Amino acid sequence: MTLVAARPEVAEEIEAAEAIRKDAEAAYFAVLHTIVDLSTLTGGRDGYDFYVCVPASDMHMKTQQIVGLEHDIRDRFGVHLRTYAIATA
Amino acid sequence: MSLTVAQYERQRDRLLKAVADLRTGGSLLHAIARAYYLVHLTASYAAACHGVTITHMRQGQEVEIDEFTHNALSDVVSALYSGSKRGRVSPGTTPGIVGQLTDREASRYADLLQRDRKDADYGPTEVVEPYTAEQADERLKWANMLVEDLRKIL
Repeated sequence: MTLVAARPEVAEEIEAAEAIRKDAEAAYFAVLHTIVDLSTLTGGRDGYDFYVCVPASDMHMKTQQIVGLEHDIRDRFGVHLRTYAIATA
Repeated sequence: MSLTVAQYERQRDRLLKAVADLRTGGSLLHAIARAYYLVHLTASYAAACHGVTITHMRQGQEVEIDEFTHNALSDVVSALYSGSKRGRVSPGTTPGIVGQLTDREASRYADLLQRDRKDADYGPTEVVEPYTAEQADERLKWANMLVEDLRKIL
């Protein structure tokens, strides 16, 4: 916060980056929910990665679908969001 | 720290043996993790050979450095394959790679293998082996193709 108050040009950059990240997250979750059950989603605070549970039998396919989505989002928005699949029995 | 050719080859030999031993012993996820490290080693070595750099913000200034986090590896691999800037990664003198994989496939596989490496090293996967032998072998094949392609520019 001190940095933002002292350097308004940085504050504008941060605001612009946050706006892009919000758009990227909206596009990301619009598709992610079709791949995995988001009721098990954890993490993601302060820009950290997300975690989601998937049955072990689906782990191979689901991680490929998630990474495919993440690379599409990265190409569109320049933001690399990550959700790690946790294999459950 | 950059490696000499001999140091790279020794490390590669160690990792290749580890992948084979773990796969034979049925430790599938750890075999994939070692295969990931083989990709990381080869990509890092290729990146060092060609002056690939990544831009970071330090104290409000943009600086270019030649050390990569594991999360940056998929962009490094993509830059090495394409010869173009990817995200914050600049390709240096990389000529690009015409190999078994496209730069998109290579980047995606590097990312997938990196996730398996994290699962193997840290958890939190709840099952001992999340992949069948066939699925594990498919992932080992991705790593093998990545390493073979990356070695073309060493």
